[in-house]
Amino acid sequence: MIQQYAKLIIGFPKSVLIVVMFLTIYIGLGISKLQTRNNYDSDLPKDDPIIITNDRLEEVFGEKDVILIGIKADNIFNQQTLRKIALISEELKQVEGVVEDQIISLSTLNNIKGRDWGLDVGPFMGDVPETDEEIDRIRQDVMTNNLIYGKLVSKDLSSTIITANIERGYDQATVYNQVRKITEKYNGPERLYINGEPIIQQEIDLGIQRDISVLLPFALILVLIGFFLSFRNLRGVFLPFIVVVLSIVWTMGIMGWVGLEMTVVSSALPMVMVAVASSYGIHIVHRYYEEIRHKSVAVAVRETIVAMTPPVAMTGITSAAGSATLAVFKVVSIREFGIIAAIGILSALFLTLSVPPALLMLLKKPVRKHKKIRNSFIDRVLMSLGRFTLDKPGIVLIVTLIIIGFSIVGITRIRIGSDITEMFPKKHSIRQSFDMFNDYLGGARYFNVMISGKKPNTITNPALLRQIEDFQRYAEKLEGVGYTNSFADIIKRIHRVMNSDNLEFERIPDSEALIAQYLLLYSMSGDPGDFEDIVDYDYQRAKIRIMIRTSDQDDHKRLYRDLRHYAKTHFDQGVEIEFAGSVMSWLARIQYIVRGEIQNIIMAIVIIFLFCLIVFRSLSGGLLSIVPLSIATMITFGLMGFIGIRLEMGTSIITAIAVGVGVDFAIHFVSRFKEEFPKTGDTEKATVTTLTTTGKAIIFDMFSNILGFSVLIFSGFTPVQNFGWLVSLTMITSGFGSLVILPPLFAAFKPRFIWGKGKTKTTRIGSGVSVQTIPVYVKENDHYKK
Amino acid sequence: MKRSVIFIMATLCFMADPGSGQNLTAREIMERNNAQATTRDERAGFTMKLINKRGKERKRKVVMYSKTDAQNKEKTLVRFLSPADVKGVGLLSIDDGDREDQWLYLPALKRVRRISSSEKSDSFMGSDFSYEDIEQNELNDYQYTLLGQETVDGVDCYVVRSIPASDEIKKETAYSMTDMWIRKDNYVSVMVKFYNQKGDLIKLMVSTDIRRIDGAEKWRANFITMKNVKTGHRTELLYDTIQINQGVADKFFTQRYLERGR
Repeated sequence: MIQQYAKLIIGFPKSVLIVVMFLTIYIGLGISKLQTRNNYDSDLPKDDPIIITNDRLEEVFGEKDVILIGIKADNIFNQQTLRKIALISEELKQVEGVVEDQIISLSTLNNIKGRDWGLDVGPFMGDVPETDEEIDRIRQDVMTNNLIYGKLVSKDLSSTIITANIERGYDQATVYNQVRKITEKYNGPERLYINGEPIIQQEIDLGIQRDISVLLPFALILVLIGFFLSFRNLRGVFLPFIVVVLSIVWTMGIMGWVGLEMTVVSSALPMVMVAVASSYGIHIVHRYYEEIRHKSVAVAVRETIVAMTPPVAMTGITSAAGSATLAVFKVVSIREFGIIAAIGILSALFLTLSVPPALLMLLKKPVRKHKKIRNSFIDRVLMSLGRFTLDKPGIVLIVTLIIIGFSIVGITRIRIGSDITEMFPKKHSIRQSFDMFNDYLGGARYFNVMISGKKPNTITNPALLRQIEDFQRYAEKLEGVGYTNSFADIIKRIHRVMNSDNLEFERIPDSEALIAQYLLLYSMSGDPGDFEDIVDYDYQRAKIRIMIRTSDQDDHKRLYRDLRHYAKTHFDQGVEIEFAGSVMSWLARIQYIVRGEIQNIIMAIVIIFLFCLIVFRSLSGGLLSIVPLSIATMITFGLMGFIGIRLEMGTSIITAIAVGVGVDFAIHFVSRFKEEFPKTGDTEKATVTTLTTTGKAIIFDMFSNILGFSVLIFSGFTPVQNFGWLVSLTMITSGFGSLVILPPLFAAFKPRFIWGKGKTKTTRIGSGVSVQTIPVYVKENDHYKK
Repeated sequence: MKRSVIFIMATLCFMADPGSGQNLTAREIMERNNAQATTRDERAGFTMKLINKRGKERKRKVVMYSKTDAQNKEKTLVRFLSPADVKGVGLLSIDDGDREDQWLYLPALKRVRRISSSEKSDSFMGSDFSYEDIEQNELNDYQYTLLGQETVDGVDCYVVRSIPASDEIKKETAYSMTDMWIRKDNYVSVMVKFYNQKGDLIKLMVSTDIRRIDGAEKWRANFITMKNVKTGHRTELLYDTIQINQGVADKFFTQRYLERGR
């Protein structure tokens, strides 16, 4: 079959290229259809209890997004800052999608105040105050209103928030730009910070765009340099480069055509493709240069195809299979990444096996240049490494066991999950905004707690309102909670105001009718939408908002646990309490990531094991092949535990990629050793030869992978950064692991698929594919030796 | 039977009116609309339904008395009849042209409290109507243009656009302009479109079931819907009684009556 394929390429190189070209154009058109997805609400299964609660909460209380503007000054109570608050509140009305009468700020908010003449219902600040007395009055009003003080205005009076509700269906880029324009205009000397879903989502979009437009060229330049260093001629640089570029076009194009969206996770995809596709291209071109020295172009190309198709296909299939195992995750962005990465790797495989051979057919035989052989420093290092591992297998074993031991300790310390906040690096403007909100304004993220009665008008029951109040007091005492608000606060406020502003009356009244009448009073003094956010229309459900002033998900977890426990033990039976909000949906991920990761590790390793088992037709062959990458994975996770990198969206894709790509090293090593050993029957000789030939190739392969992956360290997203360097690290550990651990293991266990049944049967054929994988590196390294 | 006779007479009467010819200016149309709406006193019982975007509603039954007294003070009393837990809540307001005083009575508190007056653009009793939507505008506060003539539900109407005439009004009102569809036969407005400061349509008011009120040369809609097109929230007013110029006693507009209901 491979022979026929070779005939096709050799016979019709132009046709092959034209077909590939048209396919590329067609598939490439899909790139224009590519959408980005910045909304992570849809990331979890629809039947998740938290997702269901979130959906119901939106149904009851409306589905609006909120823009937050935080203003930080020394003291906001001066004419200039107050004027800015009024102007910003006014200008926000012009922003697309903003609901005009749902802007909340000192200048728009109504205050119910008890005055000596009666009840004053009106804005805190009708017009911008002109005199110190007026400013002083506003400050007094703020400081005596518990709905505002410590919430809309910070307790130290240095900061305040302006919020604007925005109807779904807005164009988020437009909103972002318009809001940014306003805040830039009024920034200084007060510092202005923006936050809220639309802002975060746009920052994610911008980050993805930036990552791709900056990191991709960077990665491409790096591989170009890499290719140049390995080949030092144009052909050697551009043939693999074409494979890389076409692979990216295909992957992104297919993504567009099948309607998969770009997410923070899949923004790493082009760089993953650079890493994977570059090594495939290198192998083909390397081999061609080997063959062409003694043969005609057609023969050389045929030999290259025949020799290279099995090993490249094998490494491609293992990598694709590894990625595809990510499909076990129930987190959509991870699952989609796995699927599209697998498709991309298979595309790269196809392109590698078609484009460079066909192009080589059309190019003239290269002029032979005497190639300067690079120093054999690496050879010497590798040789002594081989001898060392065989002389002192005990040391290798002990060191390995110690490393494994440490890794296990580290693994037990791994923290799981992360909040959306932590997606952005510490210096990112969104993070700074979160920090400012957390430090001064009681936080920007929150739990929504929905209290539901069995029938309408339950919420106006004084006993239930008192339980809500107690729950809020309890929550506010917890470390990490900024403040809380609910419908009960408003009732208390009105009760106090209606009773000569006497602080003693800041409590829930006993009469249900009075509560109903207060509500009527409040609703009469406001807009129809005023209450919508905290109580439903028939007073059956209320929403308590618990603001959180920490971005650490472990705190979120603890708060959720404590709050839920309190709610279960302190509310009347028959009242249902549910937790929702985007903090909750990020918490919900944890279980999916844990379960997905465990399933994924097992599945990836089992699949790779089975694959190697088939390839080597040997149980021990399969087992030996997965040893280095298993240890490498453990080291990576152990390290994550020690340095506190969390297992989340970015890091949970490491295993699948690292296992799929990293197994190549072991496969190559085992194959070559299996080839070398029967020649002499001497373990050390076989080891040294394997190390200095295939071993060296493994090191080059490893570096070409790292070249692509390491670029991700410069991503604008923390998860991608972590993925980038951890996957690079795993490449190194599984690469070196293969070189160091396998020889002593061979020596110790003398596996039958290498040693044979007796020492005489060393030349047994029967390793199918693997036999053909071996010459690659033999010849490659001949190339270096001459 | 009697109703239809009056209706025919009224129609004839309007047809006989020389002003109902084709050549009315926008201002003249508005004058007639204004005259049609103005009353000495009024008593109206209605159900107010507040309906949110998801179709959930809150229903309140209300009776409203209003009167312009001898000193030209505009007085209004709103009393809630249902739901049961707010029955008896009352709101009294007296506007002498310069200032407006308001008092609120909550039966559960058994106390009348004075409360601050409302702004033109404030919501009327938490509904989608603002005070300015239900009050009669001062004619000189706006400039009017006749946009044309259209039929609404088979009835010929003028379409008149109002724009604030001064910066002062511009500041008070929530609208940059309003378009009114005014019936040619009786000068009742059947549809109003309200535009916000951005110039976007924000609210739509539709008045139907327009009937002549017994004992007065006035026409009133018995069903009015005001919809906020931005929020999807709407308010429906369904009238069960409207009495005009039947004499509403001054005692209704006292704090004593507000508190005791007699």
